[in-house]
Amino acid sequence: MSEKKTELTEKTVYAEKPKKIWDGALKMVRGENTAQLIENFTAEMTLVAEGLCEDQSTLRREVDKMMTDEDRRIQSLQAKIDETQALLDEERNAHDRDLTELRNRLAVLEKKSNSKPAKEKGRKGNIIKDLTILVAIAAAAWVIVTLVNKLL
Amino acid sequence: MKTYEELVKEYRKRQHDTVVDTIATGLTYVDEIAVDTGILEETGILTELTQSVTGILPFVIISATEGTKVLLGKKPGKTGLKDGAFRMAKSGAAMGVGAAVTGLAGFWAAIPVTMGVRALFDRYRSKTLTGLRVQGRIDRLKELNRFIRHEETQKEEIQVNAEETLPVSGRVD
Repeated sequence: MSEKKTELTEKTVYAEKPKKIWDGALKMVRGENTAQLIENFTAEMTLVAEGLCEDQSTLRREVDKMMTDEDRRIQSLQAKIDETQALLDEERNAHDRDLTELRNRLAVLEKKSNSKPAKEKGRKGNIIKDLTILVAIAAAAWVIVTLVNKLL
Repeated sequence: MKTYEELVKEYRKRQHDTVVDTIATGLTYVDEIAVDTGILEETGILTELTQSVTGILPFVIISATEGTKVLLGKKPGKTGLKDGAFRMAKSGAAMGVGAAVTGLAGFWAAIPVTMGVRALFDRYRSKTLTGLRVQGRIDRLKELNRFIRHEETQKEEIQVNAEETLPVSGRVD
């Protein structure tokens, strides 16, 4: 029985070989089954097209999100810049006020310093006047004393 | 840049519809497993509720996944609707086969049969329906093209509106 079986299998193997060769040759001449090729190609193309579309929409959403974030950042930076600008303006105004005050004080001091020599002149004049009076008194006293000595 | 083969491989990997639907059809037997193992009683509100929920679970999952894809802009509405309908039909058919097997050999045998039939629906395709499938794919691609064009037009309109609302000093000519 087993011998018969092996003979049969050998026969079928020998019968299949030329069929395979023939099929292979036909395939080489005709190419793959057209319907199968169309099926595979359209399936792959649809898959790739839909996948690319999906990727594109995902990327678009990400770009939109990034743009929104960027806008928000720009706005916050702008707000900070405005705040700093306002602070700077305030500081500058304060400095200007201080400077004006200092200038006024300086002007007052200058005025004061300019008025001092006149007073000094007045004082000097007074001293000369006093000295003249004293000298006159002394001279008058000397004249009186001399006259008294001569008369006596 | 990726080659065509790499793209095909990558996008094939991303498709989980078959796996999701196969698991969902398998989950329709959860109520019967729960009753059989004694977690739930044969009668009761909870059992009935579980039976109702598990019966519609695959369809709910399909609706949710397809709806999400459409809402997120990954798929055109029409294609989403078509895909959902096809998936539901396949799951329904698999569940029908499962019900027949349950009647013949019990639900323990029906679970692998149902899941297997659902998976096979996506794996093996009838040669006689090749033309129909190709036509369907052409329609899908046309719909996709319309969808992309529509999105681009919308984006351009938004940009134009944004430029119009800008103050004159802010415009860059």
